[in-house]
Amino acid sequence: MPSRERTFRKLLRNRWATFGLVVVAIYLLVALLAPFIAPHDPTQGNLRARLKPPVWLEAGTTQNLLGSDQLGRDVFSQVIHGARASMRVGVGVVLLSGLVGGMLGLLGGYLGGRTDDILSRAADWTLAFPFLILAIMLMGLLGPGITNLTLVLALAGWPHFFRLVRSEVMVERNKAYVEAAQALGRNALPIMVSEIARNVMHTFMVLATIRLGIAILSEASLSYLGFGVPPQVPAWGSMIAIGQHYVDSAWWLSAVPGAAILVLVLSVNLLGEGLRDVLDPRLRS
Amino acid sequence: MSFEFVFKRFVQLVILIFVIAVTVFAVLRLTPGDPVAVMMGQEEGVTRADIELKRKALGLDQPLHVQFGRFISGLVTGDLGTSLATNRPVRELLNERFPATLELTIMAMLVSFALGVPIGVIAAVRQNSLADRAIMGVNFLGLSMPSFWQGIMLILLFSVTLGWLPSLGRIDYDLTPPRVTGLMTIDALLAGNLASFVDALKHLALPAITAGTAYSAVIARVVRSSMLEVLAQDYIRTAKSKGLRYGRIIYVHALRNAMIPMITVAGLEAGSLLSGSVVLETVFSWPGLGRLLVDGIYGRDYPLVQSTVILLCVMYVLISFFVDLFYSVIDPRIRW
Repeated sequence: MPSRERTFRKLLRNRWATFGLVVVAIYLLVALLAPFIAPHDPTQGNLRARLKPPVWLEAGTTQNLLGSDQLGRDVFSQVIHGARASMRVGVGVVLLSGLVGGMLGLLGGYLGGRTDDILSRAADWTLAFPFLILAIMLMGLLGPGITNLTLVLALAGWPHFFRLVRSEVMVERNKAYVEAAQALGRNALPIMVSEIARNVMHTFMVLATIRLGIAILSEASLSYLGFGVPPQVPAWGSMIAIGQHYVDSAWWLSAVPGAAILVLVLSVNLLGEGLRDVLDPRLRS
Repeated sequence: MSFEFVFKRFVQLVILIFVIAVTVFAVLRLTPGDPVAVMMGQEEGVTRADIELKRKALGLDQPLHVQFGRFISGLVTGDLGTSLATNRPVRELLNERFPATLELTIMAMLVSFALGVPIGVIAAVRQNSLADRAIMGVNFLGLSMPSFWQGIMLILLFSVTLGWLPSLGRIDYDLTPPRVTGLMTIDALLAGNLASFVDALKHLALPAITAGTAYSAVIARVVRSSMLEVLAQDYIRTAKSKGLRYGRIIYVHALRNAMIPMITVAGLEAGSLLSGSVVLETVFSWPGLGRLLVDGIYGRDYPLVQSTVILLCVMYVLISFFVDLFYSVIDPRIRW
């Protein structure tokens, strides 16, 4: 392949990644600033403006840019506030599963032996479970809630981070400086942690991005079923569930929040793909 | 395939199923809230004594280890208890709903292969062309879409706007064929009733397409990359130099070998369709196991929930068990 074309293609890849990064950043900002951006209170209905279509349709008004629902709540404001739930759960799940998985990976890889056996086995079991079913059962019994949801989804995510960090520790463990430190009776762990952190950071970020997209989709599915975010909190999944009842009269109620999910997850995945190409060519499929 | 390998894998399977049963039992008993109180609390005029009586009838007054023993022996003997909400044996309910999930899973897999394989082949043969990039782009979109939302959008297009396809249920009530296998399409054919066969297919169309397209993206990706690998092999060059027709090389020589990874993908797909059935069946009011589970959770029907979850999980791990065995038959290099 001529080098100019390769450069061009790399640029193209980066352009998509840049696009993903910008969109994800916008969603994050929207989630943070939701109360200031949203034109209306997302929970406040207006019975005189029920099921209004979006502004570009006949009978649409600038009052409700993306229409209103069966109680007259503003869809645009609800979607903006919905970003909060998705982002909180998504980021929370990735942080928690990354932290727990990473620490356990460090522990298992460094100590080896029985500890490692047990941890690895636990990771294998977790991955062998059909997780969505267990998550639904757990959430159905615990009741909806952002904390419960984050914990349950993190439970599914930790083995991926565990495996990544563990394999890196196994490589690092046999290096000369570790042996030297151990021979001197010093604890090699602090050096290893900084060394491993540097080696694994790129792959870790790619993995975290991929898991973020999955966590957001899982949150939406569970909220759609009524087992995710509590009903009084605006969330895209539960908006779609309500919207489905009105699919023959008010399509925007289900279409708009779904599009919000699609654009976010697409951007997260584009960012992940771009990161993978640029940071970690080994992972390229 | 060595006996040792099968045996080892089988022991793993049994342990995994046991772990699943323990997990489900623990989750149901240890989550806060008394199921009986929750269930009966909604009815009028229920006294504390009534609740105690019901608890006794369900064996919930026994110590945990006794309950666990009963639970396991019930699973082994197939006595799954009685559904609290309907007062019918849980086994009967599972029997009734299982074929619906099976039929949908099979149709979804057919759709995903029918779409995914040709798409993957085209993308591989025309690597880096505009078509390849467009296909992979659409695939990427498919992987980022919440499938339950895709289902609702298909309902919006094909049922609401165009009025071509029904959006819920398995068949029109009047056209229901007598139950033989429980698979509507097969039963309709057995009854010789073409109208109900067509109606059953129409009802299957939207849910199967929703689930199938989601997975065709994965299949296309795998087919594409394994085709690219196979097309670079020496025997493909030999076939070309022998002067064989290009179509024959692609579809007979290359595709056949590129299909081996498909077994894993098919197994994974069947597994994730089973778990995904919970969401998908809710979208289309499809009376299968997934919908049964959701209804059971809404109604706090604990005996029903525990059996449905265990059944779905066991099917899931059984599939991966058979995929592993099958794979090691095809490719003897694989050993655990």
